[in-house]
Amino acid sequence: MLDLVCKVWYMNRRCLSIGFCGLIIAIFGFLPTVAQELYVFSDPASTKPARSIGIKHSFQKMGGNTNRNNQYTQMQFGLSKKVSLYLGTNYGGNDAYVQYRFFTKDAMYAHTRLAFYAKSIQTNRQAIHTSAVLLDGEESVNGVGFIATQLKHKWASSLSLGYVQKEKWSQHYGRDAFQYSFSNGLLVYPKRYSSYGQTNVNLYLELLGQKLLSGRGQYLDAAPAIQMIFNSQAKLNLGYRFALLEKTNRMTNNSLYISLDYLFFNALSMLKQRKKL
Amino acid sequence: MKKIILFAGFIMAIVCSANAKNITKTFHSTEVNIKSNIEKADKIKKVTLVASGLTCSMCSKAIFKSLSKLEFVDQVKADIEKSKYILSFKPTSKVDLAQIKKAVTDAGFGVQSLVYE
Repeated sequence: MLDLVCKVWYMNRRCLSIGFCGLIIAIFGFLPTVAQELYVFSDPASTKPARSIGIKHSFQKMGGNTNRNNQYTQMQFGLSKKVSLYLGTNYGGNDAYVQYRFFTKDAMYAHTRLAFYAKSIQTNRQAIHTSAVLLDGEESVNGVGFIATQLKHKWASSLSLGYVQKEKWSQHYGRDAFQYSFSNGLLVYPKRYSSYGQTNVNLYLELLGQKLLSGRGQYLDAAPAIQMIFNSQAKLNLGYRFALLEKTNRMTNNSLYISLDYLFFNALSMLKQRKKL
Repeated sequence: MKKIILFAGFIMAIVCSANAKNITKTFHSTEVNIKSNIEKADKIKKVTLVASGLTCSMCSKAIFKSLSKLEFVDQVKADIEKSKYILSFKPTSKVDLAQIKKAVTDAGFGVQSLVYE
């Protein structure tokens, strides 16, 4: 079934992705909507609820010259109201991501949040020689960055700026890069919330880019995505990432992405209580 | 490329600065409200709380679950659309408003208003 979806998507990917971007932009502009910041390809400055545990499994089908598929599993921990820790594995290596929210201003249906993050990707895979710093687990990379998120009822935008560096590199290929993203999201269904059991449908449009610092080159991808939220706890994400600007070499410049997340509220405090008993 | 990044940064800066004043006012008034109520906490039978900083049902459920977990809370009724929560309490337990506020901030959001009966 997944193969069939991938085949249909890849046969018509350019038309579908451009059409989807157009649809999102039209909805952003003209329809009365509510903002969403549960982005598919990036993280907002908001951290996970304290003491919660999330599990995420994703599947990425890479297009272009490589026909590789990536599967990835991640555990997400809300260590406190300001600190989140993500631990992931793609079966060829592991990664860790920690985020600290240092600024919060909340108002009715609005907030402004700022956060720092640090991440480390460690892999046992054979080195791949590309100019771009690969962040999907193909090579060992460390990075730090800053995220600013603004939510205001009908508009949620997030900007992230970061620095990433490969652990192993050669002079012919890039060593480090400036990483950035600009993400926007909105709720299209339901028009009015009545219960936690309602299925939500959200649309996202993200721009994801990288500018090489040691060596010339850069890329900028557009990543439209659709998200369904079930029972206010489970998220099903479907997105497609494709290059708007490609001036570097990397594994692929387009990929189909599917992921499923589930969030267990108060799971860490329940684990603590069980230990005490 | 540079123009796109500068444009995105510029938009964020404008939106953030436009909202900063209103947000600060609301947050401070909530702090005062809760402090003045703490002394009368042992007579509280019902609390109506409005949370700030959220628009999604997943965020609302995080607050709902965080409030429901409090030992002295008997029942929480949520109005997702208005970010409003009505809390009733177990008859013999003492209500702690500071813990109620902490439950909301732990979920990642703020308290816009808190009224008790």
